[in-house]
Amino acid sequence: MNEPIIEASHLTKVFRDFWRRPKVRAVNDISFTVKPGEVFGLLGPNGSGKSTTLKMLLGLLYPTSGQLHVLSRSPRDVKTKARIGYLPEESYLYPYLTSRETLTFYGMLFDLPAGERRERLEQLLAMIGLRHTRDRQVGEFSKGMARRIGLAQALINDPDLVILDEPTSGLDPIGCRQVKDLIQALAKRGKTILLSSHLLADVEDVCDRVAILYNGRVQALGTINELLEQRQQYRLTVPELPPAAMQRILAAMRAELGSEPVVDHPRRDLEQFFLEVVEKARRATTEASGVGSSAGVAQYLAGGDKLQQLVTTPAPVSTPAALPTIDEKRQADEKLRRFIDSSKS
Amino acid sequence: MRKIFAIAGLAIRSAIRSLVVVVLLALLLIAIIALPLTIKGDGTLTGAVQVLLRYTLGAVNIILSIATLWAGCAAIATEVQEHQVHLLVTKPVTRAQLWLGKWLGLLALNAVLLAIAGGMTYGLLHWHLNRQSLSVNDRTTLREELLVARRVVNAEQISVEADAQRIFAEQRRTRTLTKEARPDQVLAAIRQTLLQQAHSLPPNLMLRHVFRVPTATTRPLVLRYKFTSSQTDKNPVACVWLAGAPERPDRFQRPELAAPAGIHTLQVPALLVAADGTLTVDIANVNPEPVTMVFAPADGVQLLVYESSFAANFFRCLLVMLGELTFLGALSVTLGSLFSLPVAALTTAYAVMLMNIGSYLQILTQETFIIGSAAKSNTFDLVIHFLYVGLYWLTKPFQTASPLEPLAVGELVSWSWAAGVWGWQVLVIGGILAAVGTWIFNRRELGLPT
Repeated sequence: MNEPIIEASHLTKVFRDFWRRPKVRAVNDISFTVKPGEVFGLLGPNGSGKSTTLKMLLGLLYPTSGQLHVLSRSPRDVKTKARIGYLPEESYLYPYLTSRETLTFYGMLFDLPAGERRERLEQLLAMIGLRHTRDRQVGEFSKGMARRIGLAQALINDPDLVILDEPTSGLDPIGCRQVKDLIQALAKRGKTILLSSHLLADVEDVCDRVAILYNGRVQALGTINELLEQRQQYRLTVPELPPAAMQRILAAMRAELGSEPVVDHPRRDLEQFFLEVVEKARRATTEASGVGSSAGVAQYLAGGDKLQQLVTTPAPVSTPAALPTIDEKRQADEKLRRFIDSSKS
Repeated sequence: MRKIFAIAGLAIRSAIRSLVVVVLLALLLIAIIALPLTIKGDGTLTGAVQVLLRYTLGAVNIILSIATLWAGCAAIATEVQEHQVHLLVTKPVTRAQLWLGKWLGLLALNAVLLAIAGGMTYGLLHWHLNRQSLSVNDRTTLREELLVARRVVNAEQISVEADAQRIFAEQRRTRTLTKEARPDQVLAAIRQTLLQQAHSLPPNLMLRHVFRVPTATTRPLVLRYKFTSSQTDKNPVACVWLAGAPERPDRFQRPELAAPAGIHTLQVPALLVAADGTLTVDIANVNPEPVTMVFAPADGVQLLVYESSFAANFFRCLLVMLGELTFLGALSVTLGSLFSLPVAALTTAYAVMLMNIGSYLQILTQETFIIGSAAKSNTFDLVIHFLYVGLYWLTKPFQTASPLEPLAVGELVSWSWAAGVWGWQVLVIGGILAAVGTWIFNRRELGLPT
């Protein structure tokens, strides 16, 4: 039961020229395993061997040497493919098919009965916010919209292993957030996810473990915490304190450290801010030609539970009306700086 | 099957939405309507019917063949080139299913387009004939000679083998053969001479042909004959045709004055066919001037037996055409799964060309020398000879006659012909192509960087 979902051992891929002479060693003796329910990130600069590794996992390329098992079988086995969902880096969809036809076609390739196919199709279109485009040809879509359809086709079979190549490429921040939430929702259901990305923040947000490739070799492998935690430093976060209390803390720290500690206000990230602004705008508008609001993770992907709301609509921690303006934020930062300066003297 | 039908449906949708079907329909429409207007026949009703059937359906066949060649090669090659195949082969679909789906899609498209083109041609032919005020003779010609399916029966072959071997042995014994003479060529020449002698009819003699009539019929049989004469001025030759067993009191007898080099027909009552299914036909040369009539051994005298209606024949003709297109589809989809689109298209076109020069290749295989004379043939000549022989035998299984020729002259396009094309070309050869093609396609890495 706890057998690895992916098991790569001394995997090597050498590309050859027309005369079968070795040209490039794209993947060089790499070994790694991905466990069930894990979100595993494959990182690396261009040409590091990420795509080649993914393609070998999908049976699009054949290893020159080494062992590779996906779901305990050869990646080329049809039974393996029935349990995999794949989103390629580019969408590679048929431009003349509508959204509905695209998902129907891929559903048929998984031998899904018509009723189940229709049900999943509706849920997926609702999930990616493209229900209103079901009869539009994919060729007319923006890159982001096509990417969402690509994501939907990757999930039509409710896969055990989802392989996502640059899943957030071409998506707006809302789409990126949705994808990340979706990954987490799938992981919660015990699905295994392998993703490759250039966007390190995305990987950091969702991955349990990562492998960093360079020049066809694994340079670092471990959990996000193992790799990123700086055990020689601490960060303290405290609620707002009266100035006198704050001064006492700073003085104590100076005395202990013998130097000035770094003090600032914690910041929400820009993604969170962006989502709140867009949500406010969306509430004020009734119609949109592009991506509509998501109905949450498709029911069949959420394990039959009630639709799980995605974080496209941010948690109601603050309404856009209550948000500080840029000027207000600047004033608060200035106030903090003055306070620290005054405490030094 | 759901996966295969999904892929086939995709191929059809692609053709419809990319307007390929619309363009093809327009081209077919032009061929069917405009071609008979631009090609002038020989002015006769027969000529007009033959133009419509031979050239119009011929043009339809060419258009659909080119479209099949291109679409078949593009079916997989384009998906590989544009990486859409990445999404296909990462789904639980075998490459054989992918091949089969694409091929079936092409077959369905061809079937629909051919049915439309065939239906229009058939309708146009009848509309064209109905709006003309035809004489009784013309209507009879149409009904009995053109818009009909008649089986062509050749006379039982006269065996000349024993005589040929005897003469050859005699020539060897008396050393009349030169050292350079090749035994097989000498023997073939002797056979040819004996056959011509056997089919020559000197003055005041009678030549017998025996036909085996394959099916019982009550409709009149038609004797079709052509001959050359020993005269230089090509005057008509007087002859008498006798049909039926010699002992029959109701034996058919018809005097004819026939010109050499023309094609002549005469009707014979079907009841003259003997109980064992044979029909004996004698020709008496009664020309006042001494002249020898020479009938071609293969098709000098033939018997035409009514087999079925024109509509059924037309349908079988379309079936043969569809079979050939389906085979072409199998070939082009296979090559398209192995090579890029331009390479696949060129290779398929080259293969089709080789299949269509079968008769030329056959002639080349009969020559042992390419440069110089037989006496001086060298190793190079032999290599070239064996190359031609190899090519001939390689392409022989794919060589078929066009069904349009018999259709246009009211001859039978048989069910066995259609079954042969579908059984041999489509199922056997197509199956071998599919097996070999998918085996190689399976070994092909589709994720290679481009």
